[in-house]
Formats: sequence, structure tokens, C-alpha cells
Amino acid sequence: MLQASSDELEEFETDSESQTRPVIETRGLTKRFGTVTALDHIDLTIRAGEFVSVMGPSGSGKTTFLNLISCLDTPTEGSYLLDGIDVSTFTEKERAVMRRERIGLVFQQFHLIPYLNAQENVMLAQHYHSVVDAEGATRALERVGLADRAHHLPSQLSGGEQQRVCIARALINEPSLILADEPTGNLDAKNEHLVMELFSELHREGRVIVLITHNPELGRRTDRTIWFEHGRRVRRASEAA
Amino acid sequence: MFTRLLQQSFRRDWRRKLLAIFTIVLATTLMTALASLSIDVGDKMAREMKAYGSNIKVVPKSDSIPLTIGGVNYNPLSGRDYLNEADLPKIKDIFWRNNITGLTPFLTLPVTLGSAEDDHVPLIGTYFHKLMPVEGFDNFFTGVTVTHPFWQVTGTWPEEDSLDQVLVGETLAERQGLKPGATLTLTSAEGKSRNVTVSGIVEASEEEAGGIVAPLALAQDLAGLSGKVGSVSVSALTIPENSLSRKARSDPSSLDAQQYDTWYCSAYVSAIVHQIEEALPNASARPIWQVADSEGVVIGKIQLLMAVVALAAFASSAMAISSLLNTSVMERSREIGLMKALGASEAAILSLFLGEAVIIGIIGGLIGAALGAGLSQIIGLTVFGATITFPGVVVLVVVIASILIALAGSVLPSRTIAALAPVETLYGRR
Amino acid sequence: MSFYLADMFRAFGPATFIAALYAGLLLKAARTTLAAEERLRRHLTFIAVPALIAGIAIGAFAFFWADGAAALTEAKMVMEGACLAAALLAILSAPFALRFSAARFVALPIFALLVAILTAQAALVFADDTTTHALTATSVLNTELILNVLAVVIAAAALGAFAAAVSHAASRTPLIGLGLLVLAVLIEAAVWGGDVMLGLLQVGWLQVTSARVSLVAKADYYAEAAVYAELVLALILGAAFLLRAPRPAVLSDDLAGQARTERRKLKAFALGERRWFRGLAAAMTFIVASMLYYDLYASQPPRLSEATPVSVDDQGTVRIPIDQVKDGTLHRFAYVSSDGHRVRFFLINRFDAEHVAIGVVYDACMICGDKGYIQRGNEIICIACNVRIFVPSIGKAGGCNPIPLKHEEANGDIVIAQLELEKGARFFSEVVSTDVTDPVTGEPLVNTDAPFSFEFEGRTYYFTGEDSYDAFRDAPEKYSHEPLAPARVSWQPED
Repeated sequence: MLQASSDELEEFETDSESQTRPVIETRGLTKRFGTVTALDHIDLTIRAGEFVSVMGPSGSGKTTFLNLISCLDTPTEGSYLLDGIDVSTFTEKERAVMRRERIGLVFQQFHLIPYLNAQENVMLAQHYHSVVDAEGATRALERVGLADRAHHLPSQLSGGEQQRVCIARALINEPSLILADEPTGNLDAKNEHLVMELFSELHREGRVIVLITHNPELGRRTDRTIWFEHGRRVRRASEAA
Repeated sequence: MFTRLLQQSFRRDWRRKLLAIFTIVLATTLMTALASLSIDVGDKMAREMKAYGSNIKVVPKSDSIPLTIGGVNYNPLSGRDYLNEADLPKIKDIFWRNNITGLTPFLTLPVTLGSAEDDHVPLIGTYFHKLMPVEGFDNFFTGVTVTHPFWQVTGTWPEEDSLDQVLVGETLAERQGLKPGATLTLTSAEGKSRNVTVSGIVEASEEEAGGIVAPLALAQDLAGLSGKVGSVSVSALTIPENSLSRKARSDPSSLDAQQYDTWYCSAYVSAIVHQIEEALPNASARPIWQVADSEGVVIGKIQLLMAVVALAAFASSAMAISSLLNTSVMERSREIGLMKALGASEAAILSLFLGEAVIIGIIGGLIGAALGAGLSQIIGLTVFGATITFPGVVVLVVVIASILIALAGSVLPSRTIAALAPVETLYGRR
Repeated sequence: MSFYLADMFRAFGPATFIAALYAGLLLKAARTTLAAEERLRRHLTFIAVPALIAGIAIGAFAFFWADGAAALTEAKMVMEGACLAAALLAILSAPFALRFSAARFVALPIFALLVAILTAQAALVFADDTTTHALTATSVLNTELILNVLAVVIAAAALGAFAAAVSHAASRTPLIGLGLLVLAVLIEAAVWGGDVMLGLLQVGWLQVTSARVSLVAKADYYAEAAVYAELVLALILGAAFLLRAPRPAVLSDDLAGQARTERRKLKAFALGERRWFRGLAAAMTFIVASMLYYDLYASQPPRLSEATPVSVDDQGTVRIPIDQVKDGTLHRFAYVSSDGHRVRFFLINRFDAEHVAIGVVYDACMICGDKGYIQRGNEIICIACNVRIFVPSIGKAGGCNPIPLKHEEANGDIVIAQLELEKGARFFSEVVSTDVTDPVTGEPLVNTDAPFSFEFEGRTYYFTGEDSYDAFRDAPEKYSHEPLAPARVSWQPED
């Protein structure tokens, strides 16, 4: 395991990627909680069409990183450009707008509203984005293969199905970026496979997906893996290989 | 979507909502009861103030300081100062003379019936339907038939100015077994006595029920006060009181010249009272307001107390709602976190909880108003011995108050919502 | 209740409209980023609330300080002068505020000033208007008090909604908003200017000339309509806003992906704009409805019953059979005097059918003028002062009683001499057109078309030209002793 300088990493990225539009660009992104530095000067660029996994042990800062790039939190230092817009100084209201229009979140715990059916859960994202569109919600559910389950409550769906509803919800507002935090953490192998297949398909459709995971298996299915350790980006020997 | 979320919230969490509604019902029942008692009296007073007719009592100046405690007149000068009967037509000579519809003098003295051992009963001398010589009015008939139209007589009215005919109050008649046509011997404290015939039984107010009503001349004769009267009741056509007349009532000298002219030349009861006092310098006139002088005084004094109680009810129920809602927010923190993560604005999330609060407020308010209406009747019956007319505006006020309770109770929870970081609630960690 | 509602709108409506337009222009200028707009919105609120409170405090203080009519006129004059200045400042600064976002550092203080001064003026007007109305008849809580207080609160809420909607609409149509701001200020300036001039004339700082007086009178006459004019401007703003607002997009089936999401956003935006428009429309409808209800219905005096026209017989008298008028109701008649005045009088039985005593009086009062009397149930009421007249006293002078009319009773008729009715002309202001003759030249003419008229001994004389007018004015006694010619009635009784 080697610790790489920012310059090196930058170079590495430039080399490996064709020059498409950057979706995420961070410069010296730092987050401190009191005296603890959770994230330490992260420089990173993710471009359009990339499927990236973020890996690292617990406490390595990958969730903090996810919170920052999903506009749920503000950095202590540094800048973060989403679609070329510097959101690091945005107010909560402005960040809410960014979230609803440019970010789709997929959670390990699904976080579906238990009293709303699958379609309504998708429509909730539409509601906070603009207006509800049942037709569009149905199409999104079709896209994830749940057309016949649209009117089921989350409790009537299996884990895998719930996660697919969650993905449909993340997709519904056509975000610039899909962020998935351990999306298969609560799923069995069969469903894990299904969900990963879905992500791969979405990637092939040209969507930017950032996957946060412990599982190196999953990491291997992405274009590129970014490693975090003690709040810093590190370069793994395996990655270089 | 908004209504769907609201609907689901009620379906799922109905126990807590019911508790919240119950809290508001308790507070609003109390508020309704207190408010309807107060407003009922207030409305009656307002109606009295806005009536187009007033009664005015004119008494000698030294008599005007009321010292009546427990029905006994403690005023030491009472019975010594009198008005002159001959001055009465002056009342019909004021600026608003045409608005004076009637005036009735009264002279009250204690007499004994028959033998001297009997109890004293009041003898009230007055006019019944007397032609009063007033300049410009050739046929101005006045007396209790004009100013006290509610007096009912079984039998016949005594002849005006007669010295041997009287009316007997209903209670006294019953006690003594008197019927029209019976004869009585009246003896005054001065030792004068007269034999009279009962011409009729009178149903009037409490004062007359236990006494004898006689022509004024008879009372003056028995009292040895020829040409004197104790008080005068005046009926006048007036216009409703407003802020100008209220200002004038407290102190006419506080008005500027223009205001004074307007006031003097308007038929306010205060202006007429003022003019009567101008016409009779040794007299004091005062409008008689039945409600304002009785229930109004009571309510006026305890109004502040009622307001404090209502405020306490408001505050305590708002606090109860606050803690209920706060628990609900805490319980639903993951949901709220998710909504925030989906990009919902704080206002959008807050409106969900405020919407709940308003619905709870309206339901609780309506139930509270209904229960309070019943409670106010019970209080009215036990305290005032009469049912009260339920003022409809109370429902409006109480529903608004309960919505305000719910909203006031939402202040703290809304801060909790604002402070909720989706990061913490969604992942359960930082 | 309706009075307080209408008067709140009358007093505060124009001020709200002007301040909201200005705020809308500032809002438009700040609409560069979401955060900037939010910040300005917050600033406007933080400024408006204390400014409103300060304005109300100033207005209330001025009202209580101004003891007496003269001081009140002065206070109004000063306040309206300040309003003129503040509004002018706002108009001048508005184009800059719209053009340069940095101008907000000047525009925000001007906004604060505008709100405070306009509010103070409106509060003073409102306080003055409400002195003749009682908020409550008694200090004990009662229905009327609650409704009146509620009316003020509701009106304030409606004005708040109106202000928010107007500023939003103005921010979307800034140029029209700017134009309307200028017009709105011009309309109010005419009212304020008239008042200021009246004040100056009253306190003697300005010399009284007929041109000035007529100007003031005109301004005062149109002042009542000013608030409606402002509402018409608001209507124009609303219409412009609606025309500019996008139509809600249709989410058709063939749309998918990004396009559908974009369409959804457009739809949400359009629906939001529609909501603003509906809010504006609702607030305006409520304001207009409550003002019209009060102005056209609630504040209208009761209508007089129809008057039967009478004419003079060949003996120069008007005869009315007693049997016709002894039923205890008010019988109104009208006579047109030789100078065209419509003289109303009424007859009523003062007692009952057994004791007939007819009161014969003019339909006018010495104190209240010729508004007239109406009968409601058994009561005869003076319309002007609302006092109930003691019916047996009708026919006697004094108080607010109708003015007695000299008459005789003969052969079961009430006989009124024409001369007496002619004398009554002085009590009535209503003039109908009738044929008269110039007392100097003897030429016939129609009174309402006469270029000159002169009042002498309670009678109006009409002249064909200035010469005869001057001749009459110099020696009225010489011409006025002509015997009264019977009036030829040339008017139709109103239905």
C-alpha cells in the first residue's frame, strides 16, 4: 500500500480517462469534526460516464466523502464543484435544490416510506423535485423490473425489490450523479447480483455512478476504485496493477 | 402527494393525534365556557347601549351618592332633600324636549296598614296617566303607564290626584288577602292617616310588589311634603352611544368646542342627562342600564381573571401539543431525513407538520366549542340562575384560538425539524 | 365589521400597493442567484416589519397628539407631504435599483422609509376615520368587538397576501411594475397634494383663490375613487403577469428521460406562477368585494319613500284630505317651488285613529338638513342622525324634529298656502329643472341652464345674462317683490 501525492493521482486520472466533462471536481476537500479530521485535502475528479467505487475500511472517511459530494454536508475547507458549480459555499436551501435536481441516493437501509406504496415512494421524489407524475413513476419502476409491484407497500416487497424501488426513486429526476452507499449490504447473493446488474446497465446507459462499499468483489465491477484511509486518498498496489 | 402524506400520518399515528385533539378539547371547552358567559353579558350590554330608547333617573343632588348596601339605604341625607313637583315641566323644556316621551315622579315613604303594630310597608306615590302642563304640548300625558309600560293592573288604575284610591303590590295583596275594593287605613310616620280603597292589584318590579302604589298627591299628603317628589323616571328616545358620547360621559369638559356642539346636539343619553341637569340645578340625572349596572359589573370585574384562566389553558395545551408533536418528529426523524435527502425544502416538510397541527386544532376547537356551549349553560344555570344565549362568534374565536394553540405548539418541533441532519438520521452515524 | 374591513383597505390599500411594487422591483434586481434572492427576501421582511410597526406608532402618536381638528389637519398635511417626498424618492431610485444590483444599498433604506411613512399616513387616516365608529359599545367582551377586531386582523392578512402577490408579479414584469409604480404614486400624489393644499389654505400659509379651492375640491371629490383606481392598476399588473406566465406544460406520453424531467420542472414553475396569480386574484377579489359591499350597500342611507307630487289649485293652496293621511303612516309629498327647488313635506297622524291630529312638517331638520325622515315600523327616524322622533311631538320645533309647516284645517282638508311651500325652498338643495323668468328682463328661461343665479331672502333668482345679474345684485329689493307665479311643474316623479 502506497500513499500517493495528489499530483500523482491527478496524473493517473488524466492518463486513464478520456477528456469528458467532469461531473465531480474536488480541490483540497477537507472536513473536520472538532479536532478530528475526517477528510483531509481530497482532490478528485469524476467524469461523465464513469462508474466509480469508493472503498476503504470503517472510519476511513468514505461516508463523510459521500455526504459532502451528495450535498448533505458542507466542507470545512476546500472546494467542490458539481457539474461545474461550486457548491461548497452554498446555503442549506441551495444545497437542497442541488440534491433534488442533480443527485440520486441509494441507501443500504433502502429508506422507503413504509406507508406509501412503491409508486408513491418514487413519486415522493418527484413531489419534492417539481410535480408528481404517476406515468413517469410507473416507467421508472418498469425500468427496474417492478412494473407489477407498483402498488405494493415496502413491507410486501423483498429486500431486493425494495432496493430496486430505491434505485427507481434515485433515477426518477434524471440526476447527474447516482450515489449508492453499500446498496447490497442488506441483500442476499442473488439480489446482490440483480442490483449490481442494474447498476451496470445504468452505467452502460451513460450514467455516473459512485458506489461506496466494503466489498472488493463489487469494487472490481466498476471502472475505477478510489481508496480512502484515515481520511486520505491512497493508492493501492492492486489498483495500479 | 401532500394530502396523501397527511392522510397517512393520521391513519398511522391516530392515537397520538387523538391525544392532541383531546388536549385541545380540554382547553377550548374551558375557553368557550368562559368566553360565552362573558360575551353573552357583553352582547346584552352592547344591545342596551345601542338601544334607541333610554331610561333616566333623576334624584336630588345629595341623594346621588349611592350608599345602598344589601338593599338598605345608608345615605344619611336620604329623605331630606326633594325635587319640586312644579319643576318637572322644565324637563320637557330642554333642547331635546321632543325626545322626552314620558316622565314619572316618585315619592316613597313608609306607612303602616290598619293598626300601628303592623309592619311598615313602602307607599309609593306617583303619576299614572296625568296631563302635565307643558308649554307647547297641549296634551302631554305622562305617568307610569308611559314610562313603565310593563306594569300590569288587575282591577282599575286609581284616579289621578285622588286621595282615597291605591294599588297594592301583588306580594302584599297575597299576604294580607287584599282584593280590589278592599279598604285600608294608611298611617305615616308623621302620624297622618287616610282611609283608602284598593282599586287594583299591581304587578310591577320587586320594589312595588311588597308595597302600595298611590297617586302622588296622597303620598305627599301623608308625608307632609306638599309639592315634593323623591325621584323622577324619564323615558327618552336616544341614539346609540359611541366613542364621542362615552368620552363626554366621563367628562364633558374634555371635549373641544366642535365636539361639544356635536355631542350636545345629538340625542345621546349622556347629552339628554346633561341637559336635564342644566334644567334642574339641584338634581342629578343618571341613565339606567339594567344589564350594565348588574351583570356587567360582575363580568367587568372578573373579565381579567377569565382572560388569565383562558391564557393559562392556552399555554398549557400548547405545551402539551408541543411535546406530543416533538415526540412525533423524533419518531419520524428518519422519514424527515429522507425527505431532506430527496431535496425537500424545510418549508415543505414543516407544512406537513403544520397541516397536521391545523387539522388537529380545527377538530379539537369544534368539539371544544360544542362541549363548552353545554358547560356554559350549566355554569349559567348554577351561577346566574338563567340559561345564556350562546354567542355564535365564540365558535369562530375558539377555533382560531385552537389553531393558534396547535401552531404555537409547533414552534419547538419545527426547530427540531430544522436541526435534524439527514446525515445522522439516515446513517445513524456521522 | 364591514366598515372596519373596508376602511382598512381604503386607508392601507394604496400604501401596500406602492410599497409592494417597489419591493417587487428590488426582488427582480436581486434575482441573480437563489441565495441572493433569498437574502433580499429576508432583508425586505426584516425591514418591512419594523418599518410597519414604526409607521403605525408614528401614525397613532400623531393622531393622539393632534388634539382638535386644526392640529389634525396640520398633522395630515405634514404626513402627506412626507409621503410625496418618499414616493418621489422611490420612483427616482427604482430604475437604478432595477438596473444595478448595488443600488440596493440605497434602495433598501428608501424602502424602509417608504413603508414607514406610507404606513404612518394610512394609520393616521384610519384612526381619524374610525373615531365616528365605535369599536365596541361596552368594555365587556362582546360579539361586535370581536367581529370588529377580527375585521382588522383579516384585512391586515389580506393586505399581506396582496403585498406578497403584487411584489412577486412586479418582479416578473418589472417594466410594467415600474410604470404602474409611477402611475400609482401619481394617483396618490393627486390626493395627497389636494390635502396638503387644503391644509395650507386652512392654516393660512397659502392665499385662498377660487382656482385653488376648485382644485382642492376636485382632488377631494376624486379621493374616494383613488383606491379603486389603484385596484385597477393592480388588475393590470395581474393581467400582465398572467400573460407572461408560462402555460403549465403537458407531460405527454412520448416524452421520456431528461426531457420529461425538464417538462416536469416547467410544469411546476408554471403551476407555481399560477398559484401566485390565483393568490393575487383572490386577495383582490376579497378587497374589492368588501369595499364595494360597504360603499354600495352597507354605508348607503335608507331610501326615502316616494313623494307624491302636489300642485297648487286656483286659490293658491295645496289641499290634502285628512282621511287620506290619518292611517298613522308617513305620507310624503313634494312641491316644486318657483325657483325649481323640490320641497318635500310629510303628513302623519300623531295619535291614533280615534284622536286624529295631523302633524304637517317639512321633510328636513334644522340640525341635520334635508336628508329626510323615514318610517320603520312605528318609528319615525331622521336619516342623518338616526334619532327616533317622538311621533306625538311631530309638528313642534326643537331637537331634531322636522321643521313645522304652517297650515290650516278646513272641511276635513289640510290646507297649505303656496307661499309657505315657497318659503320651504331654503331648506332643500335638490333642484329640478323648471321654467323661470329673469326678474330683471322678464325673459323666460330654464333654471338649470341659467348662467347666473343669486339667492335673496331664501329664494333663488336666475338670470339670462351678467347685466341683469349685476342689476339685481345691486338692488335686489327692487325686483324681488314680484308676486309668486304658480310653478309649472316640468319634472317626472322618480319611481
